[in-house]
Amino acid sequence: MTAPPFLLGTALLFWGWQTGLLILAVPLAVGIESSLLFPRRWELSRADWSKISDLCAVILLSIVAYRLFQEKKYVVYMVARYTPIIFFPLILCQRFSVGGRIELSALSLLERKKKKKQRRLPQVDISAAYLIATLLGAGIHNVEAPYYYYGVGFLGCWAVYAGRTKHYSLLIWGILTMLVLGLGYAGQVGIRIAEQKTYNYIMQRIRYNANPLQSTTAIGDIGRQKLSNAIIFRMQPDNRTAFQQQLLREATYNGYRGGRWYAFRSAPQKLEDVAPGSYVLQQNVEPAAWVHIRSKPRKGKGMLKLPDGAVMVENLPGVDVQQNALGTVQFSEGGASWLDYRVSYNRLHPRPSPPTDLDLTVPEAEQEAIITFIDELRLRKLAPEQTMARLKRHFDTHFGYTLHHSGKGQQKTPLANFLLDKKAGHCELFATATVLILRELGIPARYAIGYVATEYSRLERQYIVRQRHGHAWTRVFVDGKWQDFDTTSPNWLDLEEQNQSSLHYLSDFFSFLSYQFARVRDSEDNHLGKVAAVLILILIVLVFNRLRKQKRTLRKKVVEYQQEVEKEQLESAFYALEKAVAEKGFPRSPNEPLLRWTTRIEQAAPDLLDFRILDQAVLLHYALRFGGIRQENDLKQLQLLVDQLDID
Amino acid sequence: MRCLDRFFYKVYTAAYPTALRRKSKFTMGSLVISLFIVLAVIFGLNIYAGVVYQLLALLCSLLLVSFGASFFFPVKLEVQRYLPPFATCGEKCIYKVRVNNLSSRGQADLSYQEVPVIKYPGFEEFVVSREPYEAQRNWWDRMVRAYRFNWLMGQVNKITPKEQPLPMISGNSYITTYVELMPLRRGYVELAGVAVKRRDPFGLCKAQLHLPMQERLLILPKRYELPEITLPGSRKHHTGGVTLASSVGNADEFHSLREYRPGDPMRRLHWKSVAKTGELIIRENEDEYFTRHGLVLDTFAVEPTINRFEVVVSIAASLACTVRTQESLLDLMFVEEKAYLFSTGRGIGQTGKMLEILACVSPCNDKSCSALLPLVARHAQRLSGCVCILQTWDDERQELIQSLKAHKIPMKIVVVTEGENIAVDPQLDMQVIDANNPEQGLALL
Repeated sequence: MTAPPFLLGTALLFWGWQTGLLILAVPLAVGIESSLLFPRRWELSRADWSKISDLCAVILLSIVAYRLFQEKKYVVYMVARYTPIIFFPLILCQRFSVGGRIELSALSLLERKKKKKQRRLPQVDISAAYLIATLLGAGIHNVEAPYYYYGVGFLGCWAVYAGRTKHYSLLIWGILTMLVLGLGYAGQVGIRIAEQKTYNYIMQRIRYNANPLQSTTAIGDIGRQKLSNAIIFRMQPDNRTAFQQQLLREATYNGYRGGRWYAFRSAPQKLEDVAPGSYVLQQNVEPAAWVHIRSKPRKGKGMLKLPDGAVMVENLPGVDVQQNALGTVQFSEGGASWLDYRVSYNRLHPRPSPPTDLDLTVPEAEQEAIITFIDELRLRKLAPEQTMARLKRHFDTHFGYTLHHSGKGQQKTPLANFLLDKKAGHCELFATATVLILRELGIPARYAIGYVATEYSRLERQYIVRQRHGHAWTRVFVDGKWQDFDTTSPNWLDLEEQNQSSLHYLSDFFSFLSYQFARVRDSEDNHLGKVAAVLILILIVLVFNRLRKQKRTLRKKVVEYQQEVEKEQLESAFYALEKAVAEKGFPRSPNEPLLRWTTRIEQAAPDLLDFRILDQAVLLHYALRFGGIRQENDLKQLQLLVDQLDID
Repeated sequence: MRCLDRFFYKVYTAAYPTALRRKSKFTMGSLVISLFIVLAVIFGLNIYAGVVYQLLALLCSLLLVSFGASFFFPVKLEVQRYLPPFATCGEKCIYKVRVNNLSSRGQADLSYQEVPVIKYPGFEEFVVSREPYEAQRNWWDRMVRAYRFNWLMGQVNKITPKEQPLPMISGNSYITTYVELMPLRRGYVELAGVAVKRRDPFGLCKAQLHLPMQERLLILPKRYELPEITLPGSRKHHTGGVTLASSVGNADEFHSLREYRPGDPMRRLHWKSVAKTGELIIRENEDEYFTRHGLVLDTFAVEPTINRFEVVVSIAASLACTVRTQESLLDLMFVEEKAYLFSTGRGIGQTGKMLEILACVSPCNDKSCSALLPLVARHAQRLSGCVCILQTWDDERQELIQSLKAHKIPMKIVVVTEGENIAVDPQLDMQVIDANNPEQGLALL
């Protein structure tokens, strides 16, 4: 499609308006549309197209480098946003070229190489692709865009109107266009709704970015529950020797309904920072230790991973930090691509959160199985500590850990099946069952999710926590404070480890590199921006220098070649011979090959000279004239042959 | 590797009809839109990162409506094509078509395309053939061999038809226009029919009307420009004026006398003998002598086949056209299912006939070069000279040349190679020609 006048200019202005880069867009639009004012066109060679393509590559690399070091997030998105600038030299040159098309070789290095031997090169018009790329760039990272669809629709209609099949009437074209616009509108609304629903669904399923209000468990699911080996966050305690297996809690819940845990009556409250990035989680408690937690937040929101007894969080770039009554801390970060916060804690002083009636509630559906289990273990009338000890012992000895759930079982609920029949399950089942058993026995209990930090990386010199380290356990209120109580079969971590890929070292290494890069980039004494600018400058200088050098070399070669030819003409005795034969009445026509000329003479005047020697002289002259390995005495030999002929 | 080849071969043969349908249905514009749909999916599915999903929805609906509209093509047409008797490989074949609009409404923006009967190369052919300049491709292309398959499809089907615009046709009338085909290989091209197409209102998808019209077109071998060739054993500087003789007949050389037989022309009476003997004695002249050249064509399979064999046939065709057959006879000798000999020149046959034969020659896979020996030996005595066009220079071919040499026949040997080194015998008039660049070698003939 050849773009109609002003379409690309308008599209560029639209892009500038939508992206806030109107200052850049105006000169680009003027540049493109100036081809309408200036009728002069240039014939561009394949080499020219290659240079223009190289220039585009330089712009692309510069933008990538700049974005990589500066913007920190969404690098690919940001680069794609600048597509109209990256490809501007190409479209501009297309507009001002004689053919109005671009040689395909300019767009691909492979094509350049491949087409060297072929004469005919396919030529393309990139107007349509440039138009769509501009519209695409206008929509990237552009959330507040009420007129985007209308703009895209208008420009799209303009483009397809220009390229329409003339046989059809305007009425038919108009009806179909309205249909396209209507369908497109419905489609984009549909995508938005579907995306929101999918997002909500995924967010409920993904453990590491849990919802502070509810948590969906895999209780009752059939099949293999497998979590990935990906590193979710890193943790560095102040004293590694004193740090043992530590549970890092993300969220706590107090209500259980049909496979889901909820945080009832726990409206979050905003925390005020005591210093920039510092938030107090517990008043009047002296911290005993601290840990550094480094993670990548998802979607700019997240929940803090906190050790029990967290007192204070520092260096948190949050703009909205909230804590609910159960101790869960949620935050919305302000654009950081990497979180590196410090949590000070005192395990002896867990956050006070008085138990409520919700912490003693057992759902009716589960009561029968819970009571049966309690009666079997004779847990009633025991002190809380004794109950917990017996319960822990029983789960350790009679229950197993498995990620595979088969069938629905005989009991009414999956939890009942776990307790009474299968006696094997994953951490959510252990934790949920323990909470409900303790509640039935009158001990307040809650359900907590988070991670277990056990894997120390010698490479990184800190703990790394993977997605498969995600865990669920019980919070129990004993001796006037909440304590962690984990009844999951102790070998669960070993079983999880068996599932990891043998290539995880490789992915861990790349994860480490990415982490280190992010650290350097985010550090306060970061000079990478300046380094990037210098690198880009060097790159541009190098490329231009290369292009200039190529041109110079080419010019030098041409001059050398001309000098060589002139020198040979002066030196080669063959020219004198040719002249002498011409004087005898056999001039060579301008396009006649030498061998054909000699054959012609031989046929016409076989006695004129010794044609065997003449042929030898011609071949030697060819070798001297058109390359090949040249011997020092070749010219002398040619002279000798000419002398032998003795034409005069 | 063979297993991989078989896999690629099956994938390509299975995917080819779909690719043809795609090409036939979608325009370049729709492919560009499809590409941007993929990009819009990548950048747009995260609705929190931008509004590209709106562009995605618009592009999808545009393509969808365009695709739907392309099925609406209420056109009634009748097409008649006037094919020439034959075309030449590598040269445009332009012929006339007549398109009759049977409806009362005028039809514009139509295009015309030939639909050939699709044939596929055999697996062995796919494995052993080499696309020209294949060695210069990158290792991936050489491994997957997609380019080779595409090139082979062109070679096997002999044409790659292209869409050509038709002028507007008024209602209930017809137009006569010229369309062109570019034959890629010699042999018979089988045309299954004609497709008349029109783009949808947005110009993205194509509606088409298929009109079955089976016809065959013979493609003659490609011919190279050869320098003026002096064939070995030419009758030069002899009396007799054979070149100027207009027909086969009696020459002037006295041979013998014999008795008159009814029908003998009276002007041939040898009056002196008649006077002496009293009988009617006729003077008998020597039979006309014709220079007879042999053209030995090596059809025996050598891997890789297609390119080299085609060059060999093309060189033979070029020679057949270049040699002045009014001066001499040219005997083409080759082996297919059996050994064949065709003669042209001096009224025996036209060069065109020989080209037709060469257009249909196929490689002989089940015999060795020795199958040609008896035929050559039988006719060797009659030959003044011989041109042998060989596909390689192995022992069998050397034996063939030696047998011709034993008959003391002057020879010109042309060996077509594909980059392999050949030890040229200095005692023979031998020219090695690169199959990828035959013109260069032929210029030195």
